[in-house]
Parts: sequence; structure tokens; C-alpha cells
Amino acid sequence: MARHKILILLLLLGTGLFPQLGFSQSGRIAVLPMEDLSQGANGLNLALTSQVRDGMRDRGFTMVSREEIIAFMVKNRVRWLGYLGSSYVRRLHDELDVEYLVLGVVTQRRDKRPFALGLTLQVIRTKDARLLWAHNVELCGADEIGLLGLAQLRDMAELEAQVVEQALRTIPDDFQEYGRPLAVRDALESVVLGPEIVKPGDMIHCRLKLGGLPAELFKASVSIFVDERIIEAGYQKDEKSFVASWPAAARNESYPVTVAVSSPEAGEQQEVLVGSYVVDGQAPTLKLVLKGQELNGITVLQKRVTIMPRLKKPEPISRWLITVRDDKGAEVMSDDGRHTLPARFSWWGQAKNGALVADGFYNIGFTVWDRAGNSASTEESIQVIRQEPQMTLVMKEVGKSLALDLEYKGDIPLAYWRLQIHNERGDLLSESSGTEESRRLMLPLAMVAGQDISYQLSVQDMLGNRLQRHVAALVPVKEKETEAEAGLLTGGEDKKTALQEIWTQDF
Amino acid sequence: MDPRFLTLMGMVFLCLHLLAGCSGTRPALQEFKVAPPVQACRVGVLPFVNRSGYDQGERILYRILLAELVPQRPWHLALEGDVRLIYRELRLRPWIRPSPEQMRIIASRLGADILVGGEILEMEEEVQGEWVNPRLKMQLHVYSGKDGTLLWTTYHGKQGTDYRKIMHFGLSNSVSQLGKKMMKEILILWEEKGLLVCSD
Repeated sequence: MARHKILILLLLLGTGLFPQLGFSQSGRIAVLPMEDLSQGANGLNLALTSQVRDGMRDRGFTMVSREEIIAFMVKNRVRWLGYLGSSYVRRLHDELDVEYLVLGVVTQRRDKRPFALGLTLQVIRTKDARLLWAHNVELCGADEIGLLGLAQLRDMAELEAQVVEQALRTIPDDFQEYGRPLAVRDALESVVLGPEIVKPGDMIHCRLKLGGLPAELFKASVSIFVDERIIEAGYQKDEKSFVASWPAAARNESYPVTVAVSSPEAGEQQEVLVGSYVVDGQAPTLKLVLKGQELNGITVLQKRVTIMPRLKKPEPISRWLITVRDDKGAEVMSDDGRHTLPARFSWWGQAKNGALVADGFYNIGFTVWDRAGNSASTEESIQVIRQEPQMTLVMKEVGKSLALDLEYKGDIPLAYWRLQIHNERGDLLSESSGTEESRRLMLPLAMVAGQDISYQLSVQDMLGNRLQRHVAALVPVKEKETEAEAGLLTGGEDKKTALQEIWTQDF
Repeated sequence: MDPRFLTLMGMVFLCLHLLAGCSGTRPALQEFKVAPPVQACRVGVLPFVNRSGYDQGERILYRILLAELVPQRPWHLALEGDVRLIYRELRLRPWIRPSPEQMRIIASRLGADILVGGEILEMEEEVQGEWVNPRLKMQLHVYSGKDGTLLWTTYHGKQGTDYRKIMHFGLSNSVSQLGKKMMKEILILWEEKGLLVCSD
């Protein structure tokens, strides 16, 4: 009995005296440089990495040196932090004889009061790339404030020390009891399958990389199952990959691709769905909607014409092309783009160099290509008419009034007209507007008697062609009939006529 | 017993009750399938979708969820590096939820029975002098690895003050602290409901 007591006492003393030593049977442990998310994507925190590595070493773990880790990362082109794929993890085991990998991430770091720091640690067994253990530690300066505001953290360094201490305290002495070993299969390290969308008969290519030694890979066989076909992938030594190509079937649908790997070591076949591709042999159905003024059954440029391409069955496209050609087939304008089909285009009747195109007929052609390369084209015609609206103004004395007769003589329907008459001082005597093609306006003669008058006429047709005529003529209004036609006013012998005519095109 | 002592005790309890903060809402669970998988030992966690604008929020919660999942059950959790590699090979953008067919491919490549995806709806920290009040609203979605369908989804939204016990004690003062507590609550709820069962 006394012996037992002594033994128990010794055990208690032993654990009490050497709590930090740990009694790990573990092999080498690698701590990768820690990612610091507070510094944005791919931020690095070497200080905490060192603290965790040193702390683990103090607990008795056998740690891989920083130099070895950096050399491994350089050799394997690991340009990221915070995570690693299985193939890299297994390489750590094979190349550096690392048993466990520690990945750390600083999830949060607030350098000003109240300080905050979050640290996540993961332990991965490298032999089978199994995540065994993980733990989060988050501390904030505000957490540590006691009842009377005591025990406040002084600085960030103190918080860092506390977080690392807590994190290290949670790390188990031995990871062997964690996570049953996984059967290491001939894991697919990477799969490149493409193209994603093809036309019937186009070739599909698949490149597969398997984990394992090259000597073993020679013995492995890789079969690809697709559309009730079995395609054997051949091993290409230079690429260290299994490669297969096959033509796409004729049916338009999605084809899942499954890969089966078998080797003498692994024994049984393991089927893995690695991707899919779509066969699309149907061209898109395209329609071109033109928004503009219609005249005699054809769309006519009205300042601009709006062109809206529409797909009957919307689908993603790879590119588009729009062209405008004159009636001789010469290209006057074109544009193209990729990926997204614009909802609308506007053509302002200009050529590539910005100059206005001549009157005439033009063909607007539109072509789209879907992701498989199927194309669809359509064409619509438009007409460009740029003519000065023809309007005459005839002034006559009728009784005690001055009659102003407006008459439109153009072919294109009239949109509106507006007439303003001013006296020589610039006072507005009369203002009229309308949409009629002919109109007589009456002005009391007494209002304009003995004065020189001027007028301003604005006319616009439905295509936007506009006439602005300003006749600043000093016209003595006589008792007898006076006529002014087409902007040319006739008056007395000594009258002075000034005709200013502006045709505004607005194109 | 002395009535004065009883009165004093009563007042103390009243004060404690008044000072104690609300415990906040429990996570809301929405099940889409009647019978979720009984045994789901291989789990893949998909990249989180961050709709909050909080820088790196999606990666913070991803790592927290992974760390909270590991000790829960003897799961085989897919490595983040493997998930990212498959996303890259399938040309998937991490901020877009994959289609059911893509889910099937991801699950098959990872050998996962189920896939867990997350969405951050709100994530922010409001600094109030010596205190910080974090706010977090998120959803976790669980998909079947077999057919890529959504099995169940859980919404959870809380702020740091929801965890106040008395005075400033119990407050969560950072989004990572708050995220950890909320993840724990979600996993507890799933356990209570008998979801995500795995026995090694």
C-alpha cells in the first residue's frame, strides 16, 4: 500500500514539475507561415508563426526549421498562405519527412484599443492529408477588463502572448489518437477537362494527374466513362499525366464525365465524377428590332436609329458583331464585343470617321456566336433622308389685316412649325405654332402700320430635319398687297432685306 | 428566515434579472428534405459568399466553421486547399453558389457525403469607446453530395450585446468571437435536430 502511495506521489510530482514538456511520440511537425487576414488577401504574420513554432518546440515537439519550410514552398511554388491541398500536404510527408502540418490564420487583428486578435490553428496529418484538429482563439482587450476596470491589457504584444499561450495550451500532446487513418487512394490531384461547351464532333480533352510515384503510375490504368463509352487515358511521361481525347456526340445535352482509376496497389476501382461538358449544335435564333421612324414601310433614321438584338432563346454568347453597309455593300461602320450581348445600340447616321453618311439605303447586319461557336446572322434595312423642310410664307394685305399664309411643300410629314413676328424694336407682335401643312394667320394692320417687322420661322419634319429661318428684314408695310415668299420678302424701293437661313441638322 | 434577508435576496435577483441581457434569438432552421442523410462522415466546406462588404469576412468565417466542425464529430473534413483547387479547375467563382450538377462534381471529387456552404448577409463592428459591438447575420446551407440538392439551411443573426451576462461581462467584442459563438449555436442546433450524424 505504501509503495502505491509513493508511486502515486511520484506521478503527481512528475506531472506537476514538468507540465510543459509533453510526452509526444509524434514525428516532425511543420508550421507554415501564418496568413494574416487583417492585412488583406495573402497577408503574412511571421511574428506569430515564430511564437507558435517556438512554443511547440518548448513543449517537446520536433519542429521543422523555417528554412526547410521556405525551401519547400519555393520548390513547390506555394505562393499562398493559410491552406494547402492534399497533394502538397503529402509532398511534405514524402520530401521533408513531416508527420504533422500546422496551418495558422490570424482571423482578426485590431491594433488600436480595444485590441483584438483571433487565431485559428489546424493540424493536418501529412500521410493521409487528414485534418485532425483545429481550434480558434479570439481575445479582445475589452474581454480582460475586470469588475473595477482592472487587469486591462497594456498593448498588443501582451494580447499576442495571451492568444499564443491559450492556443498552445489547447494543442494536444499527441495527435495519434485523433482521426482514424484514411486509405490513401490513387487520388486525383488535378483534372483539366475542356472545352466546357462544344459543337457535335468537336474534340474533348482530359488531362488527369494522379498522386503517387512515377513508377506506380505506370502500372495504374485510368478509364474515362462518358456517354456509355469507355475511353482509356494514356500516361504521358513528359507531362506526368494521363491524357485522353474523344469527339463529342451529336446529341445536344450535358455529358457527365466519370473517371475510374485502378492500380495493383489500390486494387479496386474508384469512380469519381470529375466534370461535365455540354454539346450544343444549335445556332442561336436572332432577331433584330429597329426602333425609329417608319416611313413607307421602312425604318428611317430620325436623329438616330435604335438597334436591339434579341435572342429567341436567351443563352450566353461568346461574341457579337454589328456592321452597317451602304447599298453598294461598302462598310460604313462596325463594332464588336465579347461575352455580353448589349441590350441596344444607337446609330447616329455617322461613318467610322464621324462624318455624316449620305442619304440612301443602308443594311444593318448583326452576327452572334454562342459559346460552342455556333453563329447566327440577321440583317435589316434603314433609310437615311436628310432634307430641308420646304415651307413658304406669303404676306398679303387683306382689308385691314395682314394675312400670313404658311404652306408646307415637303414630302416628309411635318412635325411642327412656329412663327414669331417682331417689330423693329424687337417686341413680339405675334406668335403662332401648329402642325398643319397650310395655315393663314391674320394680323391687324394697325398693329404693324408704319413699322419694320421681322419674323422667325422654325419648321421640323417627323425625321427631325429642321429649318430655322430668321428674316431680319426691314419691310415697310404698304397699303397695297405685299408678298413674301420662300423667305424672300419684297417691299418698297428703299427697303433693305436681310435673310438669314439656318438649317439645323441635329445629326 | 429573516424577512429582511429574503427582501435583500429578492432585490439581488431582480437586479441580476434586469442587468442580464437578452439571450438573443436562436438560429432558424429550414429543412427542405424530410429525411436528411443519417450518416454523413465526409464533409466538404464550400467557400463562403460575402454580401456584407466586410473585408475577408468570408475567409474569417470559413476558418472558424472548419475549426468548430473538427472537434464536433469524427468527421473527415475536406481540406480547404482541395476545395479551392476544384473550384479553380471547374472555373467556379467563389462568390457564386455552384449549380446542383457542380455540387455533385465537387462532392465526388472530395469524396464528400455532404457539402456545407455559407453566406454572410451582414458583418460589421461598431466601435463605442472602449467597447466594440459586432453584428453578424449569416446563413449556412447544407447540400447533399449525392445529387447536389439543398437539404437544409440555417439562418442566424446576432450582435455582441446579445451575449451580455451582467454589466460588460459576456459581451462579444469582435466579429471573430461573435462568429465562433454563433457557429457553435448552429452546430448545437443541428445536433439537437439529429442532423449531421457521424459515428466513426
